Amino acid sequence: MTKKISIGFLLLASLALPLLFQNSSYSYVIRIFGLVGLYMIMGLGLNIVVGFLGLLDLGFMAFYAIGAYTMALLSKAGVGFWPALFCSVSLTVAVRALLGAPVLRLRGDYLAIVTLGFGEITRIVLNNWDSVTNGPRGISLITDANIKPVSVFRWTLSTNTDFYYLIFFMLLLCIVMTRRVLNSRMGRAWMAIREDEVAARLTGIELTRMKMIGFVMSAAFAGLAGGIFARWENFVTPESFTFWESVMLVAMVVIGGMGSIPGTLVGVSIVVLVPEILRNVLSPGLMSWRYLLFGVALVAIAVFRPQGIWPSRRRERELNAPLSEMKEVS
Amino acid sequence: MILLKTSGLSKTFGGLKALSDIDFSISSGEIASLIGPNGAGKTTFFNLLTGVYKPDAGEIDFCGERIDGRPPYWITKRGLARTFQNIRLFNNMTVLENVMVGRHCRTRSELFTALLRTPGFFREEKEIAESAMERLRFVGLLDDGNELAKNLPYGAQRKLEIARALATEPKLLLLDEPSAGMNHAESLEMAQLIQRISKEGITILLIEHRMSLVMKISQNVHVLDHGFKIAEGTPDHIQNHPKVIEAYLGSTQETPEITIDARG
Repeated sequence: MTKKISIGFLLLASLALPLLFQNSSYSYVIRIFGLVGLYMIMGLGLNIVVGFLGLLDLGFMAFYAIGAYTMALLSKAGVGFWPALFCSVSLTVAVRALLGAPVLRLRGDYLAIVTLGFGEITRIVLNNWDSVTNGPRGISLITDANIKPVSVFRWTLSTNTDFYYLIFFMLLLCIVMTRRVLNSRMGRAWMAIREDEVAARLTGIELTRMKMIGFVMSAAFAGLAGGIFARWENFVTPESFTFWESVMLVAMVVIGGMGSIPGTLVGVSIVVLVPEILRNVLSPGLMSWRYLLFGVALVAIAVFRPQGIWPSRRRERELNAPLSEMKEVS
Repeated sequence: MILLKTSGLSKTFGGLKALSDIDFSISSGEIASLIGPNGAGKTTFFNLLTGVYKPDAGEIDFCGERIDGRPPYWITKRGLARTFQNIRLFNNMTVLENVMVGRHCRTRSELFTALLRTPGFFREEKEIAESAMERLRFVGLLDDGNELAKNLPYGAQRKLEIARALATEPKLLLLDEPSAGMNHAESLEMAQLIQRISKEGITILLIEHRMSLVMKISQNVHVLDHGFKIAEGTPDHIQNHPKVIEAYLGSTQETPEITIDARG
């Protein structure tokens, strides 16, 4: 019951947030929370790979980049927002599948190296493929008359507040989808693989296939976030998709609590918001110490709370009762 | 009726011949044991049957079908399940979930049915949960269903592994040292559990060091030594078999009455 109340309260607060700040001098807060939302979507995706499959993915931003560039290029070509978003997700998924096919057969460590390499390759290609990506100058979507507005039914999205709500609803959708998959045969198979790959294999789980589905699904989240980001920012450049960002994403999932949805959301909030807060709190002289402080905090969490801030709790079930009466505590 | 049969089965690791030319068969409904000193190749034999390793030579026939060279999930689906010498559970999942994972190969729902929560999805989830609970009740762990697997006491973890294997609906169940690390009372209980599984019509092959258990419940005993099969027969026959006595007492000074604690 208290759980329901707190979720309701969080939802209301999230919905009200832009209205509170919209006309104040703090309106940039809306933008920051919008960004938090995008990272949350990506964090949920990465959580599938890191938290459930137990694989280390160090190049997740590459898929955010592919989603963003797909959206930017298609928008310039005059494709509407929704079809372009669909293409962003589809292309991201397709690239991810091509990457996964050879490497998922290998052990986890190799995957970390391959994804790290792929992340860098993606950024370097975007940086150098001038004829398509306009190189380091990036693609601007502001001045082009070709570009169709982002609209939901008759509502045209342009301000930070509009995009905040778009991201908010997409995030809710992603949370629901993740929850559903994790509480299914699929999610249990992923967890089993994480817990003991050998036992999972010999209990009848098709390892490669199950890993592939999770690996690909995770990228869909990144593609979605990337597509929205491109139209919100109206500008994409390779510099947004660095290795550092990929590492921070992994940090968010690990700090929050691997394999836990609320954990991921909390982890993202902390990693994105704490530097922002420090930026405002610290005197200019201390500003350059910001990431040091942050780094120390990360190490402290890793040492004193290795399971994360909000670790996952397993679902409790009413034994002997039909499924409809089962309680959920995860 | 012969359920599983191997002929000329061999496996080499580097220069070591782990198994040489093993001819083995087990009939439906039988409880058979595989014994032999440490390093005789017993677990390797299990690993070949379940598809962990591919044999270098020889064939494995299961229910009239060649299964050698097939992947483990395929073999599990054909009805061959196993437990492990060193318990391998999904530690951070609940006891019930561990058994539910065993239902994986008997169910189908994947990404889209789970996302859309179709009526078929709920029907299947219900079936998975109920049949997992049934297996838990069978091994006597139903009340611990919501515990994390890692929190169970040792003996219960062994039972949980068996429940998970049973959930795959095996025709043949391979048990790798089910009574290792157990005290006398626990091992008696394990013997009863194995006999109850057998009564359900499941054929059982166990690796076991505890001779009292082997001799009490098995109809046939197969003996391996240094990768060779040196004897086969009823418990009485094996106990007096000169080669077996030599394998156990002759060179290695191991006595069959000593139970090896696999926990250590």
